[in-house]
This record gives sequence, C-alpha cells and structure tokens, in this order.
Amino acid sequence: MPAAEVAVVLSGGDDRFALLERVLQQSGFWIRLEEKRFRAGSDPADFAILIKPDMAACELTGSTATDPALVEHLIDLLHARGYSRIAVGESRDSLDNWLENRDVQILADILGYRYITPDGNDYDVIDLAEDTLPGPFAASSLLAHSELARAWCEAGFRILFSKNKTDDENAVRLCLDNLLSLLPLKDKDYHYKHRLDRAGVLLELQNHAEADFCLIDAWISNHGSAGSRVARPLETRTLIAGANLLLVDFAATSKMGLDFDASPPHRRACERFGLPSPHRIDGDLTPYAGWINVQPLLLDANRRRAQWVELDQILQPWLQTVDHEVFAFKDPVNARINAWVSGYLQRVDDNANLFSSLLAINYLLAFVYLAIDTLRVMHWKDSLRHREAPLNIDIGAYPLEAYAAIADYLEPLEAHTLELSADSNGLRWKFHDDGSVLFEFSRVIPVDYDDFVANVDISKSIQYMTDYIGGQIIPVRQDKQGRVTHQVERNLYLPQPNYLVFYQGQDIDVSKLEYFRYGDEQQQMLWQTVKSENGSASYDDGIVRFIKHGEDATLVSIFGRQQFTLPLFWQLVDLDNFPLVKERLFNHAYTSFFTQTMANFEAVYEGRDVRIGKRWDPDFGEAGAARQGSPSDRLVELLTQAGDFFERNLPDREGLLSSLFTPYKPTPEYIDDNGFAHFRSAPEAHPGAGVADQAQAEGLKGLLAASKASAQGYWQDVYDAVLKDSGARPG
Amino acid sequence: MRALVTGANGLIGANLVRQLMRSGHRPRALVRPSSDLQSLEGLDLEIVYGDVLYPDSLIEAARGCDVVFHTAALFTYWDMNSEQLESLAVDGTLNVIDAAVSAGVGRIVFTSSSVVLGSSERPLTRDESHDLDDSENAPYVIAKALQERHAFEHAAALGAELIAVCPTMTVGPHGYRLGPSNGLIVAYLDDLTRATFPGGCNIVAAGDVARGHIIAAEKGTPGERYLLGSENLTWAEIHKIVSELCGLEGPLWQTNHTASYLAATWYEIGARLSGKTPLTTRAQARMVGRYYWYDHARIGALGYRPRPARQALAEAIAWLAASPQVSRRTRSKMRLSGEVYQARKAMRAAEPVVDS
Repeated sequence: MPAAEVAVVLSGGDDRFALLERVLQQSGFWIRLEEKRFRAGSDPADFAILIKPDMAACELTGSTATDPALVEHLIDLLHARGYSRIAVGESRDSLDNWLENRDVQILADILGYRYITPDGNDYDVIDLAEDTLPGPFAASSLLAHSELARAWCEAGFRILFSKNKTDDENAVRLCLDNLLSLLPLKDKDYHYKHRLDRAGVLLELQNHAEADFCLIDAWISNHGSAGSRVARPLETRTLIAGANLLLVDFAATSKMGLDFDASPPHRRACERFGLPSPHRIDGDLTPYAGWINVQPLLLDANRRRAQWVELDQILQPWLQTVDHEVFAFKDPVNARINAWVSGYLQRVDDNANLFSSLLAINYLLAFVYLAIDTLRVMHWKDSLRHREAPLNIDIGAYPLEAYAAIADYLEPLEAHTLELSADSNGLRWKFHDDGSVLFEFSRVIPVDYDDFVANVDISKSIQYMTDYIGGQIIPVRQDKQGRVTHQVERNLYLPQPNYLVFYQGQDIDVSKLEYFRYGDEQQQMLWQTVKSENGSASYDDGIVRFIKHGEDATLVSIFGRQQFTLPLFWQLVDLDNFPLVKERLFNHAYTSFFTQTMANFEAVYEGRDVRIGKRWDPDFGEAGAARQGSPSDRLVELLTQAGDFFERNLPDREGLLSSLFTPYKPTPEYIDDNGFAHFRSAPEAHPGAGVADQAQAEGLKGLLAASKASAQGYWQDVYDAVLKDSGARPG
Repeated sequence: MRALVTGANGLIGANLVRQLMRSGHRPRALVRPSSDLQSLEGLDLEIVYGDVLYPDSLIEAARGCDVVFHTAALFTYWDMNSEQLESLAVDGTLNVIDAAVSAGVGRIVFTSSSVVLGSSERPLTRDESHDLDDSENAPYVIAKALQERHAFEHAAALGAELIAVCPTMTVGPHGYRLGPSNGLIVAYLDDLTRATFPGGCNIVAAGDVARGHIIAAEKGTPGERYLLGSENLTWAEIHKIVSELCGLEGPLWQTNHTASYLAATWYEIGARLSGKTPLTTRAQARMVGRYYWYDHARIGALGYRPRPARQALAEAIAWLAASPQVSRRTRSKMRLSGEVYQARKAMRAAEPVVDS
C-alpha cells in the first residue's frame, strides 16, 4: 500500500517562523525537496527553486497577501541547506488596469520583499510574464496556444505559498487560484474569468503545471463576505503545508468550516483529480474562532452579477478597498467612486441592512443582465459574446471506423424521411419512434457547383448554421488533396427555438464525430453527436450535401435527426397532449432555422462572415495590442466629458453640484433655554452659489435659446406631418 | 477620350471609371489622399490625389484631359447644415471649372441631381424645364440647386463648356460609403415591419448613370442639363420589387408622414448615441409623400437607354447583399432570387481589366 499523502495543519504560538519550520518538517517538505533534487542529479547550489507567493493585495494589512517575512524565512531555511538559486515570482493581474504601482517589482517592494533576507541571503523577484514559453497544453485544451512562465516550468522545485482568504465569488482563494499567475496575460479577469471558464483554466494549470509543494499562510487570514475585496484580518495563527494542492486546500477550507463544494473550481478539481488516496491530514481541523465565510446567497448573487462582463469590468475598481497612499488610482473618477462605495463594503458583515441591500442590488443587477441577455439571444445576437469552448472528448477513443459507420446509421433514416412530401418551404419532417425529429431541407442556389464548393468549405458547415455561437473543430485526417475526411467538433448553439431562453433554455452544447465524402459532383458531410456536456441534446446528427444541379446551380440539402432537452416548463406542459400546437411550433422552428441557415450558406459564398456574436480579443489588456477600451474606460471617459460640459456651460458648477448632492443643513443662530434651535428667517445663499461668470452665463443662454428653437422646429414638423396625414395640408 | 473623374471612389464615380474603361476611354481618377479606395481596387487605373477644395491640386490632374467629369459631392441628409453643404458643393465645383479652364480641358460634365428640378405632390412627371420650388428645404437639395446655378454662371463667364447631368435615385454596386440611395434599400430590408410609404421616385442603375455621363460628354449641348433616370415608380412598387428580389414578404403596410417623421427621429437618436449614420433622417421623412418622378427624354434623344428599375435594383441588391452594409442579421433572412444571381454574374463578367 502506498504511503498516505499528508497535509499538515499547525496552529498556535507567537512565533510564526518557528511554526513554519515545524510545518515544513512535519509535512515532509525537506524529504520531497531532496528527492526531487536527487532525481535531477543536481547540487543544491545549482538546483533552481521558485516560490510563488500571493501578492494580490491592495492594502498593507498583511491579511490579503502572503507574509513576505515568512517567504524570506523560507528562503533562509533553504539557504541553510545549501539551496541558493531561489527566486520569488509573480505576474500582474487585472488590478493593474486601474491601480498604479502594480508592476511586480514595485509591488514586491511595497509589500516588503527586500531581495535580501534578514540572514543576508540574496534572492530575486521576477515578473513571471516577462519570460514565457509555449505551455504544454493540447490543441483541444482551453489553454491551447497559451504561454507559461519559463521560470516556473524550468524550476527544479516549485512552491506555491498562498494566502488564506475568502473570495466573494468562489468562496475561497487558496493555492488553486494562486496558479493563475503562471499565465502571462495581464487582464486575468477578462481572459480567465469572462473569456475562458476560470475553473477549467485552473484545472488545466493543475494538470500541466502542478506545484511540487504547497503552503498556506494563515497566520493572519482574511475573512468576511467581501472576500479579498476588503481587508478584514483575523489572527488565525495557522500554517498549512503538503505536497498535494487539493489536499492542502481541502485542509484550509475545512479550517474555514466550509465544504469543498462551496468553491466551484475546487469542486471541479476534486471531481477531475480527486483527493489523493490514501491521504491524511495531521493537525486540528476545528474551524477558526470568529471566522466569517461569504454568505452562500451573496456568493450566488455575486456570481450571477459577475456574468455581466461589461458591468463587472466597471465595478471592479469600485468594489475594492484600496490604500490610496500606496496604490493610487489611475483615474480620479474611479478613485472618487471607490472612496464612496468601498466604505460601505467594509461594513457589510456588521450591518444587516447593508448586507441585505448588497444582496438585493446584486440580484437586481443579475436579473437585469438576464433580461439583457435574453434580448440579445432573441434580437441582438451580434452583441452576444462567442463561447470559447474546447473540445471535450478524447479523440483517441474513436477509431476511424466509428466515423465511417455514421453513414450506415444515418442513410436509412434519411431515405425514410425523403419518402415524405415537402411543404411549401421545402421542409420534410416527422417524429421518429423515440420522439426525436427527422427532417430534410434542401434548396437550389443558382451558383455554379465548382464555384460554390471553392468558396464554401463543407467541413465548416456546422459553423455556418444559424445561431452557432462557439466551439472548436479539430481535423483528424485529410485526403491526398488536403481535404478533411475525419473531424471532431464541439459546437454550441443558442437555445432552439430562441424563445426557449425565456424559460431558462440553455445553449445546445454537442460534441460530434464528422465524416466527409467527396465526389466529382457531390460533397457530403455526415456527423453524429457523441456527447452533450450540459445534457442539452440526445440527438443532433445529420448529413449536409452539396450537389451539382445542372450547369449553373448547386443543390444544398440538410438531413438531420435531433432531440433537444426542453426546459422544465415545457417538459411539464408536455406538448404531446397538444399535437396540433406541437406540430406548428416544430414546423415554425425548423423552417426559420433552415431558411436562415441556407441564407448563411449563400452569404458564405459571397465572402461574408455569418457568425453571430462578438469575438473575444485574445490580446486584450496587453501592451502593444490594439487598445480596446474597456467599459470602465468608456464610462470614465463619458463622465469626464460630462464634467467638461458642465465646466464649460454651467455657471458656478461647484455651487450647483454641492447644492444638488449636499443636503442643506442650516446652522442655528442660537439655541434657547428650552432647547429650541432658532434660525434666521431667510437663510443666506448657499456658500457655493456665488456670482455667475458672465461669459458662462451667456454661453448657457445661447445653448438654451438654440435648444428651444430646435425643439420648436421639431414640434412644428410633427404638427405639419399630422396635418398632412389628416388631409388638412397637401402631402 | 482622356477623362478626369473627380470623386472617382464614390458610387457614381466608381461606376463611371469602369464604364469609361469598358468603352475604351482612358480615365484618370482623382481622389483625396484620405479616401477609401476599395471601390477602385483591382482596376488598372491612373489615380491622382487631390481635393476639389484645394484648387492647386486640380490643374495638374486635369492637364492633358479632353473632359472633366465632376462627380465629387457629398450626398447626405445627415449632420450637415446648408452652409457646409453649399461650401463643399459650390466652391468645389467652381474650383474644378477653374482648373479645367486653366488646364485647357474642352468640356466639363458635372453631376448635379434630379432634386434640383423639384418634386410634385401628385404623381406628375417633371423634366429639365422644371425648377425647385419653395417647399423643398432639405440642405442637400438647396446646396445642389445653388451648385448648379453658380456653376453655369461661372462657366459662362469663363467661356467653358459645361454640361450638367441630373441622376435620379441611383442605386448599384461599388458604393462603399452607404449613401441615401442604396441606403433606402438597406433601410427597407432592415425594417422588421417592412413598411413602405406614400409617394414615389425614379430609380436608375449606377451603370446607366455612368453611361449617361459619357453620352452627355460626347453628344450633349453645353449649358444644358440632362436628366439621367429610368422608371418612375411608387415607393410601394419599389419596395415590392426589393421584397421579391430578396425573397421576403412585403411591403406589409404603408406608413404615413407622422410615423415616418417619428421613426426618423428614433433613427437619429440611435445614430447620435452610436456615432453611426442613421438609415433615414427627418430631412428625408419630410420628403415622404412627394413624387420624384422625371422624364429623361432629352438625353434619350442622344441615345441614352437605361435598363428597367427592377434590373437596377437587382444589381444593387446583388452587391449590397455581399457587403457589410446589409447587416448579418438582415442577410440571414434574405433568399436572393435568380435575377439577383444573374445580375451578379453579369456584373462580374463586365468588370473591366483587372490589375493583376
């Protein structure tokens, strides 16, 4: 039986350095280190060690970032054993978008890293994003083509030294989250929260860039419902250590009194990798006294609200307590709003009304987002974001015969469907025995066949179908002419029909095997769904054909077998009880879907991009990339412009604004013996309301006069139009 | 014939240089340094850079030419007041006339507009003998009328041979900046309610307008103006043809003056917020209900034979459907008719020598 994987939790005492020495000893740190060095065949002095602490602090309370003194003590301990090639690494994150002094070296200096330990040992602080190499991620990985920090990849021994803290969206932020800094892109919220699935990214990092040892600094922890947005220190006087990241994080969450399930990335990691078996946690797992976790309801509300990408980008600078002396805001507008909002955030666990308000606001915003997203799905599809979803099946699990067999499965069904007569739109369809739908739709496009197939790549047919919103294609095999013959694809469509979004209908998410056949006058693509990650489809199989149709035309036909999972409401309604309604709904849904899909094929032939939605910018936030203003930038610009407008056009702007936003509190002239306050009969003008600048006043007057004339002209035109419509005036 | 074409990258200019090339003439395209040259891409064409508002840049461009076609203009009903449009139209035209005279060019053909001949409240056809009346007050219309008047006066004073051509609603390919004419097709396609409106207009293909320019240059009488139009149709008829060509139902209903004006207001507000050009404006809404119907008999006598409006619309749609000016959403609802595909094929076949 293998030795149990161990995580050690040590608490107590006044000496955190002594505690570190003990936890390292008891957790087998030195043994692991020696084993790794021995296997590398390296001398201790040549053996590179990288320590990755948590530096994501906006205040200097010591509760939100790993204690530099502990890191330096660890370096001293390593030096004492002959290890002298030691570096501390970190990379910039989204805070750099709106705060000054987030350069890694400056930040390290501010936090207390001195490049030389108290014992006089040198170490380096490096920006992990500055030197990177291609990551070991598969083409089907969420992180395909991503780079990784070279220092981490090439280090002989990799140590994560994380902080013990809550997080307002993921419940906790521990070692797993600390891995994110290994990726070089700066705007980590944009790329690894909104663009890509954060949990998926962390899992890929854990899989391909695992640490050799994990430590958690819980000497002073950060707790509370606001997570690390607010520094709320709690002396927990604990250190946690172990070689297995999940076990260490598991011990840390246990000490918080939390279940692993509270954190989606940890839950997913546990599902994928599992806790080591056997394992053991040494130490006292009694939850910390006085510890406050993020309320589950607030977690839920925050997560839902954070799905609104643009709003989330705007809110980030406002919902973070910041030491303004050290980390100045890049923009004064954000600084002012932050000063106002973050004050409330600090008291959220101490004031029930505040907490309820925050919860209500988050849910309200989440609801607004849901409404907007629903409208986007229905009407504003080009404002939706593409879904970046990598392939989620193992290509190697499917032999080539499995692709070719799709024809044997589908062609009899197709022949059966073609026996039906087509309706006026050219659609044939029927319910199959198991409730799935068989359909066939074809159209002659008056374009020469050779010209058509030269411009429309049949291997991308799925992407040309209407409402395709994301996915990944991986060709498996090609013929001698370079044409794809075998392919796997994951594709996501908007809910079908779109109105199902009103009933919480989800994206159709299906992974398919695809097989191609090419003839002189015909091309075919056949596909079969082998997985639907979200269970949205039981069947989504089909055949697309491009067939030469006379001299100057191409017949495009689509046969399919589909069965999608209906939202709960429609499952309860059970349309089988209303066959006429069901038939009409299906007929409308298929006719509109294929009418638009055929139009897409035509448009592709014309050279148009038919994909709905907006692309994510893979270089967003990077130096040298085309600057794409974030919503936050645009809002700040708008507010600045509004300020400039007031500056130019409003006399005594400050007086007016202060009178608007500052409640007028008159000072009593005197208070009599009975306690009554006495005021002047007519208060003096508010101090801000000074003499208006003459030029500004004239400017405003002109502006008002022009506006008045414009409004009069407008209503005169409307009046004239009404007169024409009523016949009172000739048209 | 050696010809200078100002505004060669515009809708009419780009079609004119193609027609000149097809006819064996040698066009020289005058464009501004900042111009979008997509419409001239691939053409084996001499391009010179200049600006009609900078006279010095024009004389050299015109030297050696037999004729100057002055098509450069700003056709817009949005975001420009009368003074701005007049300055561009009048000053630019006078500069071109001066430059042509200085360079010894024999003849100038300038692109006016049918709107200078006014419009009618009833379905009546107008010709070159008509003039603008007081009821027309759109800045663009006034600017074009002033342009024509000043141009003829100035040319007469200099003894230059000046001919004005007055295209009606010109639709067709190569208009990379969506102007009001092609814009009317796009606006109808984008309109989910598929509304038409009262009144009507004369629709002509950009290719025919180009041919009309050349006929005017070769056979026209100096000091005259020539209408370049085709068929007179009501808006309901035009929209019905567009629907048929695009495989859509419609028009589904007819709007009135008030609804048109309010809809245009809505479009303008949207444009102010988005920074884009509205698909229709209040200035255009005021023109709803009027008949912009014209007779091109004068140039017809010189050999001008325009194709039917349906053909003009098919060509325009063939080009627009493949361009970003028709939104992805709108394109996904269209089912182009065979006529559109035929028109596209014919246009491709007629494309002049391509610069490899």
